[in-house]
Amino acid sequence: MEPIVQARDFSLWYGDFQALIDVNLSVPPQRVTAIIGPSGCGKSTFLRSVNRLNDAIPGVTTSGSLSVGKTKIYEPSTEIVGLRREVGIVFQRPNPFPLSVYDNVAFGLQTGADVPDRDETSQRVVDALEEVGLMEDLGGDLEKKGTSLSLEQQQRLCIARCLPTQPEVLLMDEPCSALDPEDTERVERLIRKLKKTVTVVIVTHNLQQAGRISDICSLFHLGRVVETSKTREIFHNPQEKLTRDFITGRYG
Amino acid sequence: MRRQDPLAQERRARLGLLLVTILVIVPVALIVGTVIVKGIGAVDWEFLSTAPRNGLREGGILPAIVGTLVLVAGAVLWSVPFGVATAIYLVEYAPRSQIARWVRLAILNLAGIPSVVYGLFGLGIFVIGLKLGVSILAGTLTLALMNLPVIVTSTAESLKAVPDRFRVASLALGASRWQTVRHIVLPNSLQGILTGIILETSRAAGETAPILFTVAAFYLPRLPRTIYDQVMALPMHLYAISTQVPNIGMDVRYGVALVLLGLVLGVNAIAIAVRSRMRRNRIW
Repeated sequence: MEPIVQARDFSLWYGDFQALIDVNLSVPPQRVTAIIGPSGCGKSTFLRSVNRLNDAIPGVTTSGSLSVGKTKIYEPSTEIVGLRREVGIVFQRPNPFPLSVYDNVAFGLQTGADVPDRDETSQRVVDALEEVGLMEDLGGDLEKKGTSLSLEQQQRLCIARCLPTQPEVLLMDEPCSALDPEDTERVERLIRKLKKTVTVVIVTHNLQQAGRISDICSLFHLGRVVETSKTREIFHNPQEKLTRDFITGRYG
Repeated sequence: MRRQDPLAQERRARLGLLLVTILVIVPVALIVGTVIVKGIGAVDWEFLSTAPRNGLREGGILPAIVGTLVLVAGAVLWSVPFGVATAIYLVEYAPRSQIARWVRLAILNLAGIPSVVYGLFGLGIFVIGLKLGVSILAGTLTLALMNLPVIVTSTAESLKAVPDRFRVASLALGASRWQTVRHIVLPNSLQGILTGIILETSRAAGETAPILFTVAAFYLPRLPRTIYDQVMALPMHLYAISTQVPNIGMDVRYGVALVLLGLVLGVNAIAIAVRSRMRRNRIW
């Protein structure tokens, strides 16, 4: 399978500090790839590199290459606005806009170069909300403020918000860490369902979560990739001592 | 060893602080009270709705009220677009750039300039330099210049109060910087920006020095027709009848002060209402 996200010797610096060191990683399409590792290992930095959210931080420089599909995204010719429609992101803390549920989900469509007409827009908004199960939860009341929903509903709204532009990749930065176990399970079920249509890359602190939802697992340590393999392999037959120590809870 | 009584100290401290705090209220209450008691007798419908007669000694203050409203509206018209645009650029586009540093320095300096200097500047640049004459145009431009630093600062603060996670979410969805400002940041800071503008308005309404040489008329018992006219204004009128015209009743002077005070307090009340509404609707 042709990888959809591919890093080749990708390095990233915050000023003088090198946060990612020669990262090589291939993310296969329509799978859930989990990035695990201790705090400060560079996993969030890597995630945010894939839709160039790190650009906003002054002093960020990169080397090597990072591609999404066939596009090398750190080439000067890359259109960041277009890239971010291809690559959505969901954050640790749900951050819906203080707008109606409908306007939250329509936002991506309405800020694009080709704005679909009213019917098309509302169709895609409804589809996205159906997909994450919010249509049912809200009983069709899409005028509710996004910020008035429960935390778990807010997070599913944030996921739905990424979908109308039909992205190839959905990045998730510890999407359940603000949720309780029951809500976490709902969101995990959603992630498993989403991978039929979109490639998911998820950063998580929670090893069990990585075990439950991911197909591929990659361990980061001090800015380097230690090991990438099928999740089952990582958990039951790790090749590296560092991986073994991390999986068994000896560090991290 | 030294013994002390923390509870007694606490009581004394609390009482002392309370007394000083009450002292702060006293002058405000005295000023407002005096103005109302001494001025209320002079304020009637004729006072508010007619022009002065007989060298300011008789008649009302309508031209001064209208003049002040015109000046304030004009100042807002000039200063808001420039001030808000500048603040957006500083906060949203180039917070760390060299130009932002220069603009901040300029604003800091503008804010520190005494208002009489603005008046002289307006006389030199707008009235004489640009040949606008002593006119509403020159006066409102001068007031606008004086308002600018406050508008920029208060707008910038309102923009900064919008949490960054909304900006990040918008950019991450592929919105441009301007779309983010237009659809996310501005709607969520509008009430803060408006509050700043309204408060600035009330300050402009009470200023005398900037309008002294640029627009204010001493005695002009008719309403303005074009932006090249002079106007009377309440603070200037108050100054005039208090120092330049003998034999005017005390109650008339206090009456003018009362109208000015009412105008300013009214505007401030609007600002407070807007702000408390904003707090109630705030969801973050």
